[in-house]
Amino acid sequence: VNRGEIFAEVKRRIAEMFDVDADSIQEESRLREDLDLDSIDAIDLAVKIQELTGVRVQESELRDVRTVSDVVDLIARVMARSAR
Amino acid sequence: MQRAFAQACRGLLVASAFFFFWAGAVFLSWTVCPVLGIVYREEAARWRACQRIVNRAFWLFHAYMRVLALVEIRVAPGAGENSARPAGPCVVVANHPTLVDVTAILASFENVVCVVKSSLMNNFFVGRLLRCSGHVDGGGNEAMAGAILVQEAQRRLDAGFAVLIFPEGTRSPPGGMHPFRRGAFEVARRAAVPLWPLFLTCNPSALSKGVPVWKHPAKMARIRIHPTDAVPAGSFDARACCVEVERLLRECLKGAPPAPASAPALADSKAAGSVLAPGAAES
Repeated sequence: VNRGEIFAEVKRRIAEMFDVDADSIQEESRLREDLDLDSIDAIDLAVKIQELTGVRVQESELRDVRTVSDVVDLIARVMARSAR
Repeated sequence: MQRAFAQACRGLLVASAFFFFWAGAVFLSWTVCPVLGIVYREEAARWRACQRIVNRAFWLFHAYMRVLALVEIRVAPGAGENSARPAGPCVVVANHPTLVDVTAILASFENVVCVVKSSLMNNFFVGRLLRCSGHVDGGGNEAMAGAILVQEAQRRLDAGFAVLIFPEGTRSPPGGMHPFRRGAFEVARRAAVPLWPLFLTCNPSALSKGVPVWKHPAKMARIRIHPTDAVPAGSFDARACCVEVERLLRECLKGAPPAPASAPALADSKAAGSVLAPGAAES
């Protein structure tokens, strides 16, 4: 799975879960400020990331997530790790 | 004139109680915590040991205020059949009328951690004590703060602790409550633990939000913790449970007897025959 595919999937899921216009979701979109996700949405998003990767994401990794691009990177990293 | 003098004296006494409270916290933070860090390598054992010591300090703090006829704290008998503390880990939610609700609850029930604002958790003077006691960092401005909180709370629940969260997110306005946020209920649902609502009263009103501690009432403030029926684990949808528990505590505020949250309203809305509106279980 390449990065573009992960981004497309993340974009689709975010649009679907949080009722956000898919066109407004760019890699550099900030989850809180631009996409208006609140703390409960963050819980749902973290659960979705764990469902997609099948791996429990570390709290320290979640701390650095700010943008859609960070989410994509996190998923790519976790998938690479679990594939090893 | 005499009244103003008496008021000023009471204000000074309350201020002295809080001075001792913070001085004690700084003292424990920099004397006891480093020792506990060496003695207890396992975090849950360290949390328990630290809480045993801190609870004695809370007892002293409360006794000081009680002796000076400032504040008295008691747990009232539970109103419902299931109002006893659930066995094992649980999420505790409560309204938040006073500044000392946290110490009141922590001193009244063993092995409870609470969610503390990040600035206090990282405070140079007392942060170490809060971390050593196992309290949960409420998080800062991280986009994923909610998810981090859920994971941190889960770690405490796994270690057998109860996690105290004030769903209003801040102290209640006098005589009322702010709308509840869903976080505490999400934590309980995702961890599949019971949720135990407590209803707190303070009569006469004291130590409330926006009122300086030195404007303490002339009469002793009586804080009562009223346990209400616990919501069993896994039986609820977070959104519906949040609404229902808020309703329950608002009824308590109005003086109505705390009738237990109705079972159908708490049921998982994914179940057939649910009474909940569509979308309630989307999380």
